[in-house]
Amino acid sequence: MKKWKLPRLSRGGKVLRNLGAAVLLAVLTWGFTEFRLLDPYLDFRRTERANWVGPSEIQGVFQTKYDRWAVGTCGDQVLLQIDHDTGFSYWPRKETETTLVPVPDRRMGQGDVWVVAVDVPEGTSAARLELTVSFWYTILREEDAVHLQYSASREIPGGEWKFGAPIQWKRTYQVPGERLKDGGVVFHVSVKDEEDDVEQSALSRASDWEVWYTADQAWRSIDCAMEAVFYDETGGELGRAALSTPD
Amino acid sequence: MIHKNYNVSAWLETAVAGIRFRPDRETVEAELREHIEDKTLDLMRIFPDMTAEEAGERALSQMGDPEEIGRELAKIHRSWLGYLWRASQAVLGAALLLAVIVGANYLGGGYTGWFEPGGGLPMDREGCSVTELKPWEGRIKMDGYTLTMSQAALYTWDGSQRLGVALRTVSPYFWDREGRFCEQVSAVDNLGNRYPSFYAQYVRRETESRHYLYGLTDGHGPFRQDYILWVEEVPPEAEWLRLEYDWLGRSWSMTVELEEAGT
Repeated sequence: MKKWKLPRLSRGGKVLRNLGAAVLLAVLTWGFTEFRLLDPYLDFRRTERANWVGPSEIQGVFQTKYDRWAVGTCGDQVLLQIDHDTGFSYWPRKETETTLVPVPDRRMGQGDVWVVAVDVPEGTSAARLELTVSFWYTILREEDAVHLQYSASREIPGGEWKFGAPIQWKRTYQVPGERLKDGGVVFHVSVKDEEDDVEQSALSRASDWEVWYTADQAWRSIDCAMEAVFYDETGGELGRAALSTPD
Repeated sequence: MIHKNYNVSAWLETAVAGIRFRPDRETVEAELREHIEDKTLDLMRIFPDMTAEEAGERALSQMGDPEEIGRELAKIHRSWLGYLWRASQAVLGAALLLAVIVGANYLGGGYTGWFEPGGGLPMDREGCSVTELKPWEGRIKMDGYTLTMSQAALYTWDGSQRLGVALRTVSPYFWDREGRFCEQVSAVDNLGNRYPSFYAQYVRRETESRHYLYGLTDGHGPFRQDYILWVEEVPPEAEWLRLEYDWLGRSWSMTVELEEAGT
């Protein structure tokens, strides 16, 4: 019986075979990585398509302590996407003015708050944010643990202070903004005293926006108020935007 | 002999000088050398009185002008194809290496990969009666995706009912991953009960309703994504339930009849 042999390829054929096999392997390898896209803009667009939103206006890509974020606007929503996430976090967008969005970074928890401003006034070249955080608290320090109890109000509805009389805590932070390439502005607020566990814990809660900013709660642990001011090249004020926990 | 070798080497060097791709140059040189040697041996066989040196010189002279042959050989042997071949080998090698590294990470659980089988709706649950329903048969086309309902079932236990719906999206974008559109899906039944979406419950805090709905991803492949929606606290007297999606300018709905398939 005649033994079947692979046809001998010309050099051009070998080139095509090698490149074809390399492309196939590359696609397979890319698949192993869940088809990750390194470019945040492409990743944002792909996520839009899979989530049936957009096309959005991408207003910036920025880096927090651990993650890269992309922010865009579409209709009456601000869309935030954490690196490689398959969906968006949505935040209501103000129709005709600048919207401030605390970045919902679940992993912060270490006294950092990022706030991003979208639809900033045209001609903005600098910006400042003032963030005020206030609450009442009691604390119990044990040898190996610190127990904190917070409340935005002096009284805890339906509850009581566990560790004595509450102390009021209030601090104001002022930080400059960083203008993003695509038009937005990002602000980064970090703790003043890294050893202060009360401050760290309080600031970590300031970005818990699903709970504190977007819903009427019978109780919340802290009060936050922030105001951003936008300036032109000459230092003239172009506009302001504010956000605070509900009264 | 030394003289002969010198002549042959010089002749060969001139003849192959125009071939820039080294492996080709070496191959052609070897072939030509073999040819000259064969020719020399032939001459020595035909003319037994001829010395090896004479036969070699005559063989060389019969081969022709090395410069002219060199020009012809340079035309035939395109160096760029040779370099491209080498480059394609390097690319393939790099792709293999990358596949091994990433594949090892994948096998180590670093990634979920491009394929994850879904379980679909469970059709057997302890302490719970499962009624398979006729799934909605339409197709929704949106942003390059086709959305269909692949399964529907009603789970009943202790007077409570839960509707399970399996959805599938198919698209030509094999590199797309599952979306989270299920977070925006709400529902309403024929009794007027509203089932707020996951988004409405957890972000807008619309929690006054005892009826609610949530969605989960249930596997994915290169061209498909599977989801399961759970609709909780469906009243036994409800006859149908409509899933509704209305978010950022896109909307669709699909209705599930809450009666056993085939009835």
